[in-house]
Amino acid sequence: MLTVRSFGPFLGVQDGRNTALDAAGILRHARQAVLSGFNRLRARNGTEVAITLMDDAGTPAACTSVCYVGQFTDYVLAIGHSTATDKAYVYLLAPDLSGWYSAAGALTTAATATPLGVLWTSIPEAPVVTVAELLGTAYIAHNAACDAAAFYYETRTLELVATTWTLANLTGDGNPCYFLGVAAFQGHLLGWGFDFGTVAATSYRPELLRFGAPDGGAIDGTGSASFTVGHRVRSARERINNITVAADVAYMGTPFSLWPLIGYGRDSWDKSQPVDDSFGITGPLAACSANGVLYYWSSRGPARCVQRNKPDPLWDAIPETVAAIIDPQKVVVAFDADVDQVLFFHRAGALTGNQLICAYDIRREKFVTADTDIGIPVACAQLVSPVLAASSSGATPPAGPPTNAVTSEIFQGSVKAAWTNGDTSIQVTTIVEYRLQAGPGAWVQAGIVGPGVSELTFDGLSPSTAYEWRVYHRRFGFDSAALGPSAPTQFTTTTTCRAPSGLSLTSVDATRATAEWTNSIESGVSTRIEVSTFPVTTWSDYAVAGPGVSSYSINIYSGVGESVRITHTKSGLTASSALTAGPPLL
Amino acid sequence: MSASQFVYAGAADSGRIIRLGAPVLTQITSAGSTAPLFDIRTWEHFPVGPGGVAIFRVFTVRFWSDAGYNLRVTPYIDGVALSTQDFSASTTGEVAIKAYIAQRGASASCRVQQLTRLGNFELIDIQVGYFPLRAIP
Repeated sequence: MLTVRSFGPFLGVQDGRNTALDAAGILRHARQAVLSGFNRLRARNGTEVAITLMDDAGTPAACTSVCYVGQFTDYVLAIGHSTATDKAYVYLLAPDLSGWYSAAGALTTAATATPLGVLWTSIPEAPVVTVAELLGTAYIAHNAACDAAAFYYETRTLELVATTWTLANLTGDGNPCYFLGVAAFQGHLLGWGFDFGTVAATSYRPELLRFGAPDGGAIDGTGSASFTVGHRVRSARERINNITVAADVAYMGTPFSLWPLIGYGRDSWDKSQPVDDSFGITGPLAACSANGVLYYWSSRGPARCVQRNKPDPLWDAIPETVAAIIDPQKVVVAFDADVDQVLFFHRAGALTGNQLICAYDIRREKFVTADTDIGIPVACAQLVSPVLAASSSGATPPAGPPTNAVTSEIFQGSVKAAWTNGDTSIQVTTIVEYRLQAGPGAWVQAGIVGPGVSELTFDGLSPSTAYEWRVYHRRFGFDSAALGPSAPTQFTTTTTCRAPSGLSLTSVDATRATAEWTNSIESGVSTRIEVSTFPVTTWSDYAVAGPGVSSYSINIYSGVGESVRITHTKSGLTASSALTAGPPLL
Repeated sequence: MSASQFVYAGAADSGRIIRLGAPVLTQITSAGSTAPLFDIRTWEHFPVGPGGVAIFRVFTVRFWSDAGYNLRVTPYIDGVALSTQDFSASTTGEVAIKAYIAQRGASASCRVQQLTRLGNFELIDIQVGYFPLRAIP
């Protein structure tokens, strides 16, 4: 009778085994596969181009390399390099990479991205870059920023200043920084490889880690906020290759050691006990955090580390793959959360780029594939999570910008701005800003109005002064293009006060009436109350109402007080149009 | 199957950022695109022990697809590859194909490859059928 034996359920790849041993369920190789469900093997999904980074030449061309892609606040930060321009560029992309943002925050939906700015010039080779995000600022370091011979590429920052994304050089007490790498940990910026000074031979410190003040504070350019990682000082053997934060530990990897940094802020940090004195992290991109566990490529192969436990070597399952890998210092590691895999991008044989992936399933603790060809050489990789809003429709930018600006009701301290909305959906708010035309000055927020509102009257202005305003929509953190500044949004305030409104006489009897009105929004004005007979003959001053007062009791005698007039006044300026009320006595 | 989070990879030879795990049937390459073809090979089964002898008669490959299949099955007996057998059809759902052989030996393994990528594909199991002649553990 025919006997049947199953090879499944499949337990992953082991590429080196004793071939004389029964090994049901274990695979020699598995390419383009992911584990699914109860150890079923599914064909891996394909890949597609999300966006192409362009340079800033007169006729823009595609960059020749992508050096970084990763999450930054609610955006995606990317860095590209072009050998045509010898420049490295930074880009701010939509969270789904469907478009790019200008420095002013305007979104363009397109398949190609224009640079937000230039990071470095005269840079002939694509840089290896590390980026740290700390309290809304991105810190960008070139892996070869300096060496014992010279300083090359300053550490850069990208942050939102008012409403403009701004690139700058990182400094410590006014001194330039040339860090070889950056990371963020417990509200501190970490920078390594550089000690402050003007002589490269002594400032190049590949084993030195400096850290900034708490809460994203400045790097100390003159003090002692630093320590050396490793057992030796001024030794390239102890060069910091990589710092990756996993759970509450910052793992600092030299080529041949791994040091956990733990504590509750820099005043309590302890880095005294390495978890590994023999195998470290091979390169600047050769580690990632997945579910609070550090996964990295060591000099022996893939490994993982949890908290301060001894690292767990993973290389025994794939010795043939590990032995075939060339340039382990160029390995790139990323976590694919959708299929529970840590991806080790590497190269072997005649390949000149990281075109192969070795994938480790972290949930089933098996290698799913050791040598799948991903199709392109990979310089960097990272998991990007979508930006989701509470509504089921998902996070999308405003449908369109405001249009048709109208400026009216111009007075000494206030003006009315009106527009046609480009998006009236319930998730949209509209922001109005103004500034002096001269200068021009910084934008000041005039107000934020809710969905569907298409006008705003704002004050706080000075008389006889030229201003301009702009308005834009905001939806799920995405801003539309702004309407203005342009001719329809430019105006000059007058010297006339804005009038009050809504005057009425209530509680009228034979001897008294109460005048009630609504003060204008202009601040610093006085309110004058005048009375007359009804019909009006001659106006007489009755009282000056205090600031904010909007009702006043009027004595009525000989018919005077049956008519009331309210005006706003301000020293040196023209009184507002008078507001009159005067019903006959009941 | 669609994904909510994606790994984005930056190309080292162009300005392209590639989305991995996209619900598409092609894979971007430096020259254009290609189909990512599923390809696995098992280790050996020794159903009658390393010193035993069996007559191996059939490999049954069970899988699921949503758009048909075009597969190649390569049986191995005692580490030696036998003639490949190709299977294709537009059948969807769970399918079992049988690669018949008649070979004596001690160990059996199998390689399953996609020849073209028609749609989503899951390998469920591979089974080998044999008649034991002499079992030596």
